[in-house]
Amino acid sequence: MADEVHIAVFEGGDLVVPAGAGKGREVALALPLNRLIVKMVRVPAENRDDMVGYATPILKAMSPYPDEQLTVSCEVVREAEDGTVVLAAALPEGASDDVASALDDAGLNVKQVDALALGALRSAWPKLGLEGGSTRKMALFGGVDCISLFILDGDCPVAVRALSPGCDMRRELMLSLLDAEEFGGAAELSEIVVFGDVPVDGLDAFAPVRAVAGEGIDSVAGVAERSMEATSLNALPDSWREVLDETRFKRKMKTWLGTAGGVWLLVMAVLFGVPKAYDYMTHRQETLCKAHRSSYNKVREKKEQVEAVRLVSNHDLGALEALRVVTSVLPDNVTLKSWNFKRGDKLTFSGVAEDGDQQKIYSFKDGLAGVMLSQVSELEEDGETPFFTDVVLPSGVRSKGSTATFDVECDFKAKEVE
Amino acid sequence: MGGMSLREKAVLAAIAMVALYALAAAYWFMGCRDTWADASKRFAKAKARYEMERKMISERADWDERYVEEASQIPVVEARQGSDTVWMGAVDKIAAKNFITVSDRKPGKEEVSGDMQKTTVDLKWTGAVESLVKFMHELENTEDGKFDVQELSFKPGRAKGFMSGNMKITCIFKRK
Repeated sequence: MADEVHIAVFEGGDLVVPAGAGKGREVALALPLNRLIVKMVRVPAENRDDMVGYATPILKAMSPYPDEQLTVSCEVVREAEDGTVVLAAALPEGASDDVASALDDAGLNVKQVDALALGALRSAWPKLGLEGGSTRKMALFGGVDCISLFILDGDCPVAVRALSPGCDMRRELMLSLLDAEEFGGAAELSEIVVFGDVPVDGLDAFAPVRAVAGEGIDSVAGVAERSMEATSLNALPDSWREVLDETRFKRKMKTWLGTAGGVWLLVMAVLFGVPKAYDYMTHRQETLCKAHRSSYNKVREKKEQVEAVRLVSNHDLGALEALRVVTSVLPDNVTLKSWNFKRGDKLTFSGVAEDGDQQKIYSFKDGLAGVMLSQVSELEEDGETPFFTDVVLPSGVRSKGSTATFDVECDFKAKEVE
Repeated sequence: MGGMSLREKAVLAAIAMVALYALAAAYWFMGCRDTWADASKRFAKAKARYEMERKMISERADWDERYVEEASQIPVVEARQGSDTVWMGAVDKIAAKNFITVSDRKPGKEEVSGDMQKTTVDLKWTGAVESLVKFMHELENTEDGKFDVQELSFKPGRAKGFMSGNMKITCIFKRK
């Protein structure tokens, strides 16, 4: 109830929609008093916990639609030891089809129904002159649909009625006073305060009549003020409440589905979009490469020329050095039988140990693997790079009579100068 | 749908939404993840290539300078002179000087890279190991050309102490 409430007014057969209350908005509906069944009810103390239950049969007895289920709302006016005085009201659905149609047309959802006259009473309260007194006064509010009548004992209403325009005012006032007397006991009517367009001829026979100018009386503002209070009247019929609940549920569901659907779309967009984004960025890099391709090719060509010259000039991993490295660790009584060298790729050779000592061959293989590039190259200074990247005996050492034969494969790959 | 209550519609919508999310999850695990990884790799590769090329372009002056330095060592032959006659002759001369007998020789194709050219000479040779070592040493250090032994294979020959085998020699040069 803390949020600002938009008030829609149904008056003279027309629905007045407040500015800013577009389709689907929730509003409080203010109705003329004659649209509602209204009665002051004194609820005994024992029924205080179920005031609606107590008031319902009373209002139902007043309803022109006896078969219709009434949704009664009670607004506590005064708490006393002998009971609670409540303003009980209900909106008979049978008499509000035109209101429902107008609300449907406007696309508004009603969350509260109040009497426009109660808003007028709230707004006119300071002008009633009720301060400090407990005298009986009558307030009459002129309206398009009806004249709203309140009889108050001090600040407590004792009778509420809607009078048809053009009715016999003297008769209606008399009936209202009888109602008040029945409800609040006998008391002299001290004043009739009239707001708006109300025929006052002959009313001074009951009490002095004081007509108050209409300025400053804002019924809608009064209803708005009342709608902010949790205890104020709400004559919203159950069927309307069900529609409201359903509408609220639908709205929540739409919001939830919209959010979940939106997140899903986002997820799918990410799932499909990221590879596309990568493709775009890849294409961008390729375009950039293409743009400098000519410059790059020139530099690359120059680099290749430099490397080609260096490759031919640098014999550190050349055929002669390979031959020298192998012979430098070749054990005694071992003879090489074949030699196959391919620069930058591989050296394979075979040999024979005349004394058949296989261990000698394995030591020879380890010796080859242990030769460092720094031992043959002046350019290599770190001493951690081996001359061959890998040395293996692919078929081991084979015994042949009193001799042992072997094959060695030595890799050079990834050794050449970049 | 017309006969369904609002609650039933809500449950149906929730199930449909769960199915959509399950579909998204299934898509992720059944191919999308790999597509992402592939796309990411392609991008990383393209980016690395671009960075490498950019770096090399920025080093252009450096490579130009290095080339000038290295190019000064490359021998120059006359424009119309055949590389086979020049380099095979030079190789023959060094071989003969070091007692290596060349029984067959074959020039390779010339490859042009900028103003520099490269060719190969394939040899069938016979000689002692000591002669081979001296021959290769002179090839690598001669001032009459830029040579490198690209391939070398041999095994003991018919005569004792002699080897026979093949050799591929690379030489680079420039033409006037």
